[in-house]
Amino acid sequence: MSETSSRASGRVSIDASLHELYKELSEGNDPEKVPFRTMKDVFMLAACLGYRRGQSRAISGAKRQIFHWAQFSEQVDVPILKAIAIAVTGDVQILADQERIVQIAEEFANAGIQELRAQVADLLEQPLWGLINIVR
Amino acid sequence: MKLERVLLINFRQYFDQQQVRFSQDAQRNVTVFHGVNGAGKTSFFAAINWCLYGEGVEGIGQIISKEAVRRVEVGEEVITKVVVTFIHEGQRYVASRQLKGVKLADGSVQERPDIEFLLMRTRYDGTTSRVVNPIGVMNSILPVNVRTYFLFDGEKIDNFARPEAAAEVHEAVRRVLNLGVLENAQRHLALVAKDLRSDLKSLASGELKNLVTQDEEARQHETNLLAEQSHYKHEIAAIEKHIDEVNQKLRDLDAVQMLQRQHDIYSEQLKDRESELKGLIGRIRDMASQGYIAVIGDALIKAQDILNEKRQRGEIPSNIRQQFVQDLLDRQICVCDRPFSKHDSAYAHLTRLLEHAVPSALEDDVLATSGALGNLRERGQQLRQDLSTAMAEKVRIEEQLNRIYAERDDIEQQMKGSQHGEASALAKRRDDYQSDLTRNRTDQLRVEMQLEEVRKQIAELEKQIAHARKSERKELLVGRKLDLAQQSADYIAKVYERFAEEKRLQIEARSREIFHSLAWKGDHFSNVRLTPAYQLEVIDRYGQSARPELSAGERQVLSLSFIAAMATVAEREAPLVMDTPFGRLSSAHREAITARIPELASQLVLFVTDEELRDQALTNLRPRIGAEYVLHFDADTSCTTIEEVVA
Amino acid sequence: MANLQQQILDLFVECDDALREVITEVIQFELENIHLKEPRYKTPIMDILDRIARETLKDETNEA
Repeated sequence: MSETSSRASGRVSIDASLHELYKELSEGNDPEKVPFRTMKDVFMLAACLGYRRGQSRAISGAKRQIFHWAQFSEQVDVPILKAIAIAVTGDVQILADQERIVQIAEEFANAGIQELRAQVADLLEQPLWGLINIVR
Repeated sequence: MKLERVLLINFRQYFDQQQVRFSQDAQRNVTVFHGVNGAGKTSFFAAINWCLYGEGVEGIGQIISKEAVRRVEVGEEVITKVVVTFIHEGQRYVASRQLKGVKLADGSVQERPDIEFLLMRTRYDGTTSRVVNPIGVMNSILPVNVRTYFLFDGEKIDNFARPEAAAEVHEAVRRVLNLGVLENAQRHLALVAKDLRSDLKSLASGELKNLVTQDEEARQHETNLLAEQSHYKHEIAAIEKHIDEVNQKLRDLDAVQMLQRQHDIYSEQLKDRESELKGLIGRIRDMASQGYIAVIGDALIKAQDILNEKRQRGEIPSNIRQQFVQDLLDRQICVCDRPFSKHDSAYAHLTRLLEHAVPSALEDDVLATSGALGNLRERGQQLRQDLSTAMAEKVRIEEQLNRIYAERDDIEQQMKGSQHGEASALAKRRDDYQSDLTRNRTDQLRVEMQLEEVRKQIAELEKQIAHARKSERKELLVGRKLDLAQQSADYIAKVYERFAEEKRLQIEARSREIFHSLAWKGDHFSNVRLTPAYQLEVIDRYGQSARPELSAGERQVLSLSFIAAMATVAEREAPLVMDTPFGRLSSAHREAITARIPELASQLVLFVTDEELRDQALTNLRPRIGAEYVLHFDADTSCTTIEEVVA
Repeated sequence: MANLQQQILDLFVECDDALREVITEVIQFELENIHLKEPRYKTPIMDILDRIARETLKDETNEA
């Protein structure tokens, strides 16, 4: 499946090599060790961090189609991803272009995830408190 | 399962053919058998068990009716048969078990070794079909190892409430909830995977062989660690029990009673605070997980500005306007009716307007998004506030915990220094147990970390093995089977813990409900617990386990509540068949129980003596009785006849 | 609440199809033999695995 057509069908991808990290951050029962409720939340934060730092990176290696657009909530996630797209391009028309919105989000997330790794996963103390620091 | 009829033929003291119909009514769901002790209640009860499961007749002697044997000639055959008709999930079944015997010269009977068991399905038109796998089907209806919880003897009814009964309680839950099935499935699949792994190894060569060997070793290490983990779990449970016992003894000593009471209060407070903390951390996690809403504030503001700007510049016309502008351009007439040409600024402006205009379908999106962004900014700010509050609360609770620990510690020191010899010794012993507990917990943590490590190793090796396998085709099938087996085992393991825990909590909650509804109002118990160690406990108003003071009646009620709770949680429809269940209860308890016991199961069958069911208890039960029988025992013939009591 | 059997099978709804098939059939086997202390599990389970493994391999070569 070509890139654009997969995005058009609503699939959201991450770099395949990051899948383990996503799982580590979201799978498990202990809230102090597993600070995210779902992988989608990891992606959202990574995208927001990437935007905040102004860093985005195209996915270079193998991709893994890990989410579906439908997993992003109408009230919260979709408006945020749209806002990022508008803020970055300055172009309102982008609201009609779901593929572009997804691409922009994927690339910000691909960069932002590194900050997540450094500030949350790799910390000596429990990941939840690293996450709180980022959010506060 | 709902019992419909039982037919007894020459079974013990039930000479010839006798039949009983059980009440099917939803409201009048109780069937009562009256009989004095020795009248045949136990035999009837045994007959049902024997027919359905071929069990329950150990130690009761000869089951072929002596009267029937007496009446035939030497060399003639006697047939003993029990037929049970029951309904399960809308399907009617007939179970029939038959034993034959031949009369010997000395008047005794020689049983034939083959016992015939048939299970048939019948349809409403009367046709029957034989069930090919009767034991398998009976097991899926009401497994033989579960039946003891529903078809039981009144004497055994308080078993679960005994302090030493944790293993039995656990076993009951395992069986009734089919946890044993999951455990076996996981264990067997893992063992099969192990075999397949060595098959693979013998097929493989070089690097693959090497990897598989490492994998095997890692898995063996994992198994060892799991055994260690289980060992620590048991050690810790045992030590906690010792500490409970010491605390109980200290409570009874006048010299330190006040101190111990204070100690107990602190312990209770610590438990409460810790659980509060746990809940709070969960909530903090949930908030933090959504924290990106707060982080993205800048983009929200910027995007909102851009959207507003576009709206103000009029570049987001409505449907009508877009068309209108297009018209104007086509006719080259301005809004004020002034004509313009292609070179006018008006033309340029309108064109630009149209070019920058957002398609009308988008306008809704823009409005919606704009609105959402405003909400989200507020929400992000609120989230930050809530998080701050929660974190401050966390600090507060942690400080409280530290303080309470210190104060409890202080009391422990005081108790150790007590003048009273026994008290001081006990307090010191408690101290030792606490150290043991800490040591074991540390070891347990160490093992858990090692387990995580080894599991990561295994995952990594599996990846490498999968990669290496791609190049070796010959063991493709073996490899695939191995994958299926191992992954299935792993998946079951993953869901099992959560499922078992969920069920434990559900049983606990239901037991509590039922216990409250059955208990005599004079009892003052605040809670029923089914601990993670599968101890069934009743908690008194001081927060202590009340088990030592429970009367036989209360223990019976607790056990009964537990059994009924299990049945409900397991969604097992099974008749509760009880043999002299009220014998050891006080009349107050009998009255309380009989008022509510019909609610516990869809069908209730009681074998009672007149002694145990009379007066108010009988009055309570009367409206729910749908069928009633009396067992008449004739001392001359040693035979029992069943007589229906017609209302 | 679905009956117990259904509840247990629901635990595996998110699973891979092939895994779910294996698990369901093994559970069925265990259910029918729960009364035995040490059921002979190896052959029945190997049979289940063999059948499903062959099916998945066949599907894969068909897809390729």
